[in-house]
Amino acid sequence: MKKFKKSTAIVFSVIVCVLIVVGFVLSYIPMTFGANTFVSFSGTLNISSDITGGMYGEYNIISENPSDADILNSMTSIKEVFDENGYKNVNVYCVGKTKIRVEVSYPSGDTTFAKTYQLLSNVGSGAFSLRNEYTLSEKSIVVDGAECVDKITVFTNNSTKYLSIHFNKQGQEDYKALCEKTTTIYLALGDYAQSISASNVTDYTQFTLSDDDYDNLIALEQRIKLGCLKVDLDSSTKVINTMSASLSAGESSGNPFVGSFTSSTAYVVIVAAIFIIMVMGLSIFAIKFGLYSVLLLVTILFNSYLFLILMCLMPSIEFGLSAAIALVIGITVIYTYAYIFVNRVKQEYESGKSLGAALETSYKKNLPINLIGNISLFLTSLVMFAFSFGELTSVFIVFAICSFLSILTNLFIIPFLIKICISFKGLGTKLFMLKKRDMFADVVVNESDITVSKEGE
Amino acid sequence: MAEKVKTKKYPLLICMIISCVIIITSLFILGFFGLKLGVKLGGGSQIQIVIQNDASSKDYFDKASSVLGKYGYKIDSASVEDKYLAGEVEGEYTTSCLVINIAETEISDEVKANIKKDLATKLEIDESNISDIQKIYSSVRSKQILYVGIAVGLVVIAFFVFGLIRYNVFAALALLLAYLHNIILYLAILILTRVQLSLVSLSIALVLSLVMGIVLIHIFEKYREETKLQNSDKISITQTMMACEKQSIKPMMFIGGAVLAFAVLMLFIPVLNVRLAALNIMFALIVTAYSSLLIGPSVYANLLEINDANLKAVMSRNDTINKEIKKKIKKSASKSKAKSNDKSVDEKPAKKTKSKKTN
Repeated sequence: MKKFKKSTAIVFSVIVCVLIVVGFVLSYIPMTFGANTFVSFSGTLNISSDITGGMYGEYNIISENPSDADILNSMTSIKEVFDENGYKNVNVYCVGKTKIRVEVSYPSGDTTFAKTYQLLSNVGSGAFSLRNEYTLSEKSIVVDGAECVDKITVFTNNSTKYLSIHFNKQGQEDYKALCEKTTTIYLALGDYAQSISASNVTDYTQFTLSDDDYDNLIALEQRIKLGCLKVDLDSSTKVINTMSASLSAGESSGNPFVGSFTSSTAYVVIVAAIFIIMVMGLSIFAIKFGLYSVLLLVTILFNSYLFLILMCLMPSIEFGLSAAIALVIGITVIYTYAYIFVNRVKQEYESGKSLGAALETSYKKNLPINLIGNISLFLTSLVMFAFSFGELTSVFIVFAICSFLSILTNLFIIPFLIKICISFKGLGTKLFMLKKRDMFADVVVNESDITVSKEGE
Repeated sequence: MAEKVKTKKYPLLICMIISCVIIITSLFILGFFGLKLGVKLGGGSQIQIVIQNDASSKDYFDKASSVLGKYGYKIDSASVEDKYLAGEVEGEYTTSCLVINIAETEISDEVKANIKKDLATKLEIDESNISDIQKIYSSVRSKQILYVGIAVGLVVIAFFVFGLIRYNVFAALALLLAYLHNIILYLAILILTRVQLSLVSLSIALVLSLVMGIVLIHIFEKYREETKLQNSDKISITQTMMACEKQSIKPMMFIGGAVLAFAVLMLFIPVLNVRLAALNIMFALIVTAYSSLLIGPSVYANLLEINDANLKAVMSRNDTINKEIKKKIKKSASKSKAKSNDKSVDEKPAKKTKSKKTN
């Protein structure tokens, strides 16, 4: 491992210090610039409703004796729409076959109360219909969306929104009858209706939706999808409101503007536990390897910034109890590989190599273990993430991020920081708490082994 | 007399018996009592209690918890929410409710009525403020569980292929067996202890199984490195494996210690879900340590030993065959020599007689 020139090392150490400070400010300190507020990367972390509370919607089922399959199908449809809109960990369940309940985490990042409320209020808005009149009359010809449609998709092509409907047999007949009577077809949903142009009747019939108001279209898309549920929901009795954290044993409030709304004991203890684990790890390193723990602290800080940035890039990933556990295990994996490296450096140094050579050899010898361990962890986590659902997705994405950070830390960040440190005279041995070697301590020389060369005399 | 040298061996047979006993017992319990599932996985029951003006939600929670505890039910999760109730001004959510979930799906109507009565008495409120206990249907579909199973299968295949490419077929088999053993034994322990399987416990098991994979890879990597350097045949495979395990385990203890400390801290949170998660972590840690220290390396070492013994047997068989062939060659050589000697002895007097005759 080659040293930097002292001047280069000074420049790099200044850059590292600046990055630490800037990263800390951006990651943990909320700031206000005039009318704009930046809540910091940690503030945008999407924390699950179990920990910080959230919003819920309750919808009464009006279908008589709905079957289990129909209820499950409806719940899955609701889940899919929420999933498409970035609410990956939405909790949907049925209570006593009389109501469906949807629980979403407290809005954060790009989700807002308004967006969540809009989505929750679109559930159970009723099925859409295709008809020949704007307002219904006795002569109206109607194709009922709930009864005639197998599948619906809304997609965008060159900024034009299309509604694609897969009619069932009855739907195809009804739609043909409608097309024979009129050329103007209205798409109606609740109190909303708009004329649409249609293509010929095929299995998948495409309609062009006017895009005068994008937000309205998004709402329409959600309502079309959420309206065609297998069970009918009563739109007049739905309840949408806020709920407190469910992992709280303390005083709670259902109102987010009251202090006790987010006073989740679990949240406080989990954050404290993560902090304690990190401090414990660093203290072990400090006792065994001295200044190396400072390097590790720096890398852990960098890792936390990168973790928060990556989590912000995936706003739909919720950070809940299981994700916290995955994070703790992930941190220990990073620590472990750092420990393996520094332990090897110590062993190599004790075997008689110079510090530079010991670092070089340790890095080279550790490379396969580091790469194999972390890459296999990263890939397997990604496989599990791709196939998992709900809370499990957050667990595996957090674990994949941790293994990625472990690769980054142990292959690039720590060696880079070590290189900076060894460029300053005497800091290298202090860094690993290496004792000054007695070069002849281990050498035992027997008199019989000494032979005096006569030729040399 | 040659002294017998005691060499340490992996207790693979004992481990296999222990694992089999645990798994078979858990299968019996599973057959009789079924698997206890968390609310999100298997559904449960829900009660909603209207919180009276200025009453404490914590007080309500504690009292409800003691009433449900009498019937053997524990609160899985609870939240407070503002609600619009019939008769109130529409859109104004003035009533606060405590929503309680328990992980029990089958409660008889009689018990439901008794719980409601007891809750009303304990909380000193009218029964009309307590909703009926209603069943919760989970939205997790069997398809989703199947996908997780497929993912586990893919990870198993990935570990096997990796082991095959990097090491050998025995390491690949050991990785595969240890990974499967880890997951199955963890589930068996959950069934035996009647601790509910929730999404949290499932994620802990899957994550720690991945960690077990890298612990094993670390040990196998060390073994690979060691066998490359080692020239003497005096140290057995098991001994080398044990030495490698000892060296590799030190840093890995770090993961175990830290995660255990985290679990202990979580036990202080007075929420059932969190405590269960802590308990699950402890179970998973024990199983992970057992699979990665006793099962994986011992399977690998034993397979290598068997393979080594087979090779030696083939070699020695070859040696004996070679020796026999040599012997036969020698014998035949000596026989032919003897024959030729006999012939020469016979020929000599004949020659002599001939010469005599000629004389």
